[in-house]
Amino acid sequence: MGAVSTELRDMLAVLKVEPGDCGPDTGLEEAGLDSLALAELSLLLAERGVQVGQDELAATATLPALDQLIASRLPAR
Amino acid sequence: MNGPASVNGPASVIGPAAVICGLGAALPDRRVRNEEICAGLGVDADWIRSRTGICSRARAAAEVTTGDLAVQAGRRALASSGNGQVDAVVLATITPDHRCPATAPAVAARLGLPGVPAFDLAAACTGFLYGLQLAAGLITLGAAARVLVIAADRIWSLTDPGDRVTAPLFGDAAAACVVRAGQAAEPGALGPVVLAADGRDGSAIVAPHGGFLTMRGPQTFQHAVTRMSQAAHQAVQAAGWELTGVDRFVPHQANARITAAVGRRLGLDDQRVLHHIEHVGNTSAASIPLTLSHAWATGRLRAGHRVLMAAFGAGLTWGAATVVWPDLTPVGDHPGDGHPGDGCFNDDCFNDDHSRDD
Repeated sequence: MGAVSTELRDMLAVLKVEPGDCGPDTGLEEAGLDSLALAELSLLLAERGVQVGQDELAATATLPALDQLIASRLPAR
Repeated sequence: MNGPASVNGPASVIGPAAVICGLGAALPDRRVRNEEICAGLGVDADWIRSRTGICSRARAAAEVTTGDLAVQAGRRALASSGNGQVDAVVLATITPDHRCPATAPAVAARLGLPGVPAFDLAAACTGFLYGLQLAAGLITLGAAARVLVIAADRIWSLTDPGDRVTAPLFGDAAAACVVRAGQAAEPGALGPVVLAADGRDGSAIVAPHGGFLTMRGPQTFQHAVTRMSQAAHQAVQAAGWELTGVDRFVPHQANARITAAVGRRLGLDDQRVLHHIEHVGNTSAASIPLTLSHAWATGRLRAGHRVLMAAFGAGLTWGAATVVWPDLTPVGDHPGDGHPGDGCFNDDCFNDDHSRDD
């Protein structure tokens, strides 16, 4: 339960954010994602051709929801 | 992606190159640690450190002006250069002593340089690089053989002490370089300078007349990371360098999270990225030369190092430049190398090795 996707975990590693164990309610701040980390995550996503603003990332509120949002936008592999 | 407005330097000009030959820095004595300001911001000291990388910042006393800091740094840069004469004084500041006149003429007069052209330049945190490019232009034109470029901001005067976005960031400081006419191939010769500005996003960082500076944090973060990385690439390419050949990267010390992100994007390991923000905060225009001075004092910068500088600031403005560091001895205060109250460490790491000329 609560595993973070490989895609998100790889991007968080670039940001030097280690989310640790996460549950369905794990908040973004709790996972180490403050507003600046989300701003950089938005830049990383843009490099992958995915335009998601920092505000939109922040609105997900929880790590699983963030993961889901990103997965829905990343091109299928 | 918008390109830079200007890339100029030895490759495109015929006149003499601009060579850095003196460096000086000045910091107010008072240090304000996170512990002093965190309660008023409703956060704890670690919150500030984790968001900014800052543990303390210098703050000028009420009676100390930007001009005072500029004079001190300018005098030290002139001493470092071994020659008290210059043909022009450029003062990069967004906190001038008066709305009119400019601060530079009074600074020049106090430095014993009445009569030389002296003017202020407002490019916020990119001000030092704009100043270097102006100095290089004067030298290349033959209008000056030696130019004093001072970057000084009493930035706390624009800071709302209750704003948790900006209040933890800023510190007062000044630093200065002497630039002289020379050869493009000699150490200290400034490489091509990349400068740019884009006022369309200017509202990200604004201080209205009579008001405090406000900043949209995440938006500023993204612009700073993107623009500094872009300018750094362009400056390195224009110089004919490779990023792998850069020995020291000196980003404007905006926020440690920004400098780390830029370093990552450029593929520069931490050993090559110079940091100074922990001790002095974001010192606006002064931050690059102050960081150079500090790095020299701590042995992290040596003659012969290939140095890449990049800055970003209000405007928006940004830029980058390269230089092979010359054999010179900076004169100035070097926090983190002995000032009580600096940094996040205990007093047992301090020594008495203050380097002061007055």
